[in-house]
Amino acid sequence: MNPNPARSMPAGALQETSSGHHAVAVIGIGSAFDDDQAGWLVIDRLAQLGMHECDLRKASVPHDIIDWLSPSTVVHLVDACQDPQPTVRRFQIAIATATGSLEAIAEPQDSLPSNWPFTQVRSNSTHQFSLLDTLGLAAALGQLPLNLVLWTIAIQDSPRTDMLHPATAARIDLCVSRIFKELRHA
Amino acid sequence: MSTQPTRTIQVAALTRVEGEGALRVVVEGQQVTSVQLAIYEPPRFFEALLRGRPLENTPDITARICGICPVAYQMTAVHALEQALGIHITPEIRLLRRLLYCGEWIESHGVHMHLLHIPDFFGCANSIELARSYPTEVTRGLRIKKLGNRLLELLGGRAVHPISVAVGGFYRPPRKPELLAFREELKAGLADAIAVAHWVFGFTFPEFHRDYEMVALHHPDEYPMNEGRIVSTRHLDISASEFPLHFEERQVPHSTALQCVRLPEATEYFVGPLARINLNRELLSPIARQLADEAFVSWPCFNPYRSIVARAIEVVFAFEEAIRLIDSYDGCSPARIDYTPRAGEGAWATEAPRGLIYHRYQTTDDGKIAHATIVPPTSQNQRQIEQDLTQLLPSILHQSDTEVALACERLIRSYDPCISCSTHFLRLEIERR
Repeated sequence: MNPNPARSMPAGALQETSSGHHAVAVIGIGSAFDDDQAGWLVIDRLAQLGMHECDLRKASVPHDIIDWLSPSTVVHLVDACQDPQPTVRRFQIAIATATGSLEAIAEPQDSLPSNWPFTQVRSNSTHQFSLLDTLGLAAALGQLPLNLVLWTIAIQDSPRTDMLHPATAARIDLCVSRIFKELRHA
Repeated sequence: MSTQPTRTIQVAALTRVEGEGALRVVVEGQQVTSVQLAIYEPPRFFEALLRGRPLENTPDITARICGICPVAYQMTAVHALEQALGIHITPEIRLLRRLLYCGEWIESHGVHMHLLHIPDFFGCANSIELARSYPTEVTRGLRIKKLGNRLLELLGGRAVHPISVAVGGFYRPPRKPELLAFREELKAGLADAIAVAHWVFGFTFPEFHRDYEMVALHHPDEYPMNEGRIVSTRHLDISASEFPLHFEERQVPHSTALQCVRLPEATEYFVGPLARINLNRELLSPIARQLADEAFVSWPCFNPYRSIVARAIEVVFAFEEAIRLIDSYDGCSPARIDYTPRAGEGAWATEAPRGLIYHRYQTTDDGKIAHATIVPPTSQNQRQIEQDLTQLLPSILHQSDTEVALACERLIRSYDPCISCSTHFLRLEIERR
């Protein structure tokens, strides 16, 4: 039994904690089906690891997260991704000073291919309001978190809608491990 | 042999519409000779997918046709199947279905207005640009959408592709305290919706009028959602079962979507919120009715750009109606009417946020779907949109290709087309010869 079931329902904007620290949230985006489960499974695993200091949430579509974002928060987003390389990537999302538009800065060790399509992150979402659009809207509304990190997990086609591809399962483990290490050591 | 110059204008993909489609226009000299709305999303074969499956799977399968208006598919399916099976639902089930539909109208209209359509009225490329200039208004729109989603969750178990809708009723009806606890939020949403309506009424609308045949449901006692006769501004008045006698879906070479036309002349027609209000204005809830009178619109209105006015009024209506329904609700027992499978046929029409939707099913004696026909609203509006563009284009051909494309997209967006639903949809290609 999950000792700390992650919330999947909207629960209002994240708030600063009483101790004055910035609230930290990890939000998995996805569904209960095939490799699209990846974001949700990361949330479940972090809950099982007892990350009670974090607000763990699940979102079905990128739209869901906009109410949860505020400038005083630290947010890690986890989303499944069609990536040409079978890997987990970490991006720092920020507004580029020069252009005023959102940019995603990859970790150096991620050796991002030059043609990697950041703009395609969850662009196949319902009615084309992609994660990038949602974050752009949050930025326009002044709601972009103080620190926003996007984790992407490369997924594969699965033969059954109720099953996770074994290779994706291994990448979920890697993503959980990296998030846990980063947040616990922060 | 013509010496007139040729001109080609292309819009590779229509934006801020739901789904993927293209528009190809041929101009010879100053004459528009062809307008083709090409839907290139692959066919999805939902009707064939249903064949041979247990009929109780139908509401869940048809809901997957659309992430924005799944309730429309569920409602139309369950009513059509209940007709085939001879099921008579209780007033409480009927009330809950209407309440569920209110949630979908609020959510769908909220998304379309604030994220897809309103940017056109301020020359913004998208909702992100709009949000930089109008953060308060966009935030308000997102609140409205969220309330629609919450209502869907309360009744349907989740906002996208609800899971509580069943043939015969609900797998789990909401409890009265759950709905009452949400009532105050709906009242706040109503106030937001009224403010949106007043904002929208002040927009500047292009002058564009055509002699449309507008088609919608009409019910003698209530603003139509889940039931009624199919009526039009040209005196059509039929039951849903008579739909095939008066309407026909046709394949066109340039599109993967079927186009539905009026018989016998294969003429275009117009469905959606503007048609609904034109044919049912007297049945709006009190505040929505008063707003319709204050909307700077002469009803009936035949300007498609003012569809957003109708949409804003309907959001107000949906909030008012949801509050009324919650006040009337005393619980639902039984939540679901039992039935015995039988061979039969049923046809039904309801009002999806973007217009009339029609389903027909044949069932087998062992409870399977033998045949399914699904006619979504966008299939019905496609031909009308092509005709509108044919009228619009001559007046804007002096503009640059980019400007022409934007003007065409703006007109198309007025219809709130859902290409994914109709796959039955946009790139613009204009060929000037």
